[in-house]
Amino acid sequence: MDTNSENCSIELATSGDGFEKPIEVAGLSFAYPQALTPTLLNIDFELSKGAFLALIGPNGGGKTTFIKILLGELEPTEGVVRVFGRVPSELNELRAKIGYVSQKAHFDQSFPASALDVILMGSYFETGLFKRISRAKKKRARELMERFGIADLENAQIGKLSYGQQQRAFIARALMPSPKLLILDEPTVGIDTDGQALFYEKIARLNHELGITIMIVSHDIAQIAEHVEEIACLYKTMHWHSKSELVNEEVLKKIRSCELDAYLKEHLRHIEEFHRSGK
Amino acid sequence: MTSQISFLESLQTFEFMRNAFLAGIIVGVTCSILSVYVVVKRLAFIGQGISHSAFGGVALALFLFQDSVGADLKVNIVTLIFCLLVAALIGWASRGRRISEDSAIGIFFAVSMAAGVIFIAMRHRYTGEVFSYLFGDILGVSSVDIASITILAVLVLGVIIAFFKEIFFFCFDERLATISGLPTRFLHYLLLILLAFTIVISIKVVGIILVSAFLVIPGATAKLLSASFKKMLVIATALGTTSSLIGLYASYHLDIPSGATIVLVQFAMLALAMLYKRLRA
Repeated sequence: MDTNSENCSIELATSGDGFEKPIEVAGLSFAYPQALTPTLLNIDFELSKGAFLALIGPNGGGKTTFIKILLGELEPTEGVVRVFGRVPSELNELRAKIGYVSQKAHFDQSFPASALDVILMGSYFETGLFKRISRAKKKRARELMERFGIADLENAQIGKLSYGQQQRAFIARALMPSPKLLILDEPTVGIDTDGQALFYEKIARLNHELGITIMIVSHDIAQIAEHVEEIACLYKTMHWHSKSELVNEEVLKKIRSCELDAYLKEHLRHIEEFHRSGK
Repeated sequence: MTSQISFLESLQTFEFMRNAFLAGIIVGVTCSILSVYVVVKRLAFIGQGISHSAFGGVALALFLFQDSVGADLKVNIVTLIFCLLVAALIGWASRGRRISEDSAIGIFFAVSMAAGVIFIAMRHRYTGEVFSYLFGDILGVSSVDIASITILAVLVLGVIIAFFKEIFFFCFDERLATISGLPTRFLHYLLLILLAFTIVISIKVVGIILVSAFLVIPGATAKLLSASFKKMLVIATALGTTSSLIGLYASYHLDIPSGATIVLVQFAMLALAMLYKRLRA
């Protein structure tokens, strides 16, 4: 597990400007230092331009680790990872082309920033050092607030908003630099069912209308399955399926009747059998 | 009214009073602005660590240049270098998770003070001026001090203006700022360097022991009064400057130490702000 991505023999057939294949992963393994077992094992993964994918899997299955690797926060122990054709830690100016919304906000809820301030943060990288935010950027921020139904909260302190409103503000922030890839890490945790449905609808529209490639980590398969085109299940290894293959009416019915755990367990049993058979 | 005139007359008559007045304003403004960042980024303990470490720098400078010409400037320069070094070491040790941040601060702060005590002991002469660095001596601020604190204050404020939005984002959510492509490692060290500069500016006015109050109270008071970052900066600056002037005026008339008086005035303002917030709630 000491082979780094640079001298790994696995290669990716990346071509063009990298935008055609926003994410390409081959042979990715990752183990935290001193961990007895790897968190991620031999993952092959690819996300094409315009795709809308749900990444599901049990807690501790490696979803957040996988995202941290895509964002360049962790280095793979083995394998190759390319985002827009580049190693994540060397994305440089292409960072602005990734919109990211985390599951849990890491900010102090009493921080003196308004919703508009937070959304404008999304344009800081593009604006560059020493420059002020342009009027056009402010106009765009207000349009995004309108789109996500938080236009009247422009001057409200971010920490005073409900969790759902905060998440909408963070998505608007992520959309400020017109990203080509949106990574959402369990964005609906803590939002009620009706709110979730509305939220996913808005996300789906971003994919359909603006063509943004979206990867959404979620536990709410019942809600998300109606919108996404592909579903991947991550539990150490990645199991990739088209929606029709994995989420048929029967499965959806099971999920809708709150048998998500049973469904996941069944799915994981298949995965373990698959590994035991040595395929 | 008579006493007010005598205060104003003293400003016209004595250079040391003019220097004290100017130093109070410059330090009041610079510390207040930094205090907003200290409060929102929760750097109060780092501020205290760097300021106490400054004792090592002051003692080293007094040991090296005890009888030399231009000792004021040399003390400022050596203290600045010492504080920058300690700030960098705290930043380096805590950022790489080598040791926890509070442990790093506790260690460097104590080691610097221990080194300072040794340097002072090695001087073999009267060490009375050390007290002016420990507790501040605004009336002892020289023209050279005024020149050096003005240059450092302009540098600090210039850097804050230049990196305003980046530091704002960094303070809000460091992880998100990193993912968004901002140079957060650089911003982390930049904030520590700004803190070190500001502490060096303030030592002669308020003293090593009390400077951490200047770096917290105006920001904490402003946070009680506003939920807007920019308004917090304005409020903190107004409070910091006003408290410096009131403190200086009061200490002049009551013949009590000015640094400590300013801190007590700042605390009174904080208490009033808390009362105001409670009454409004």
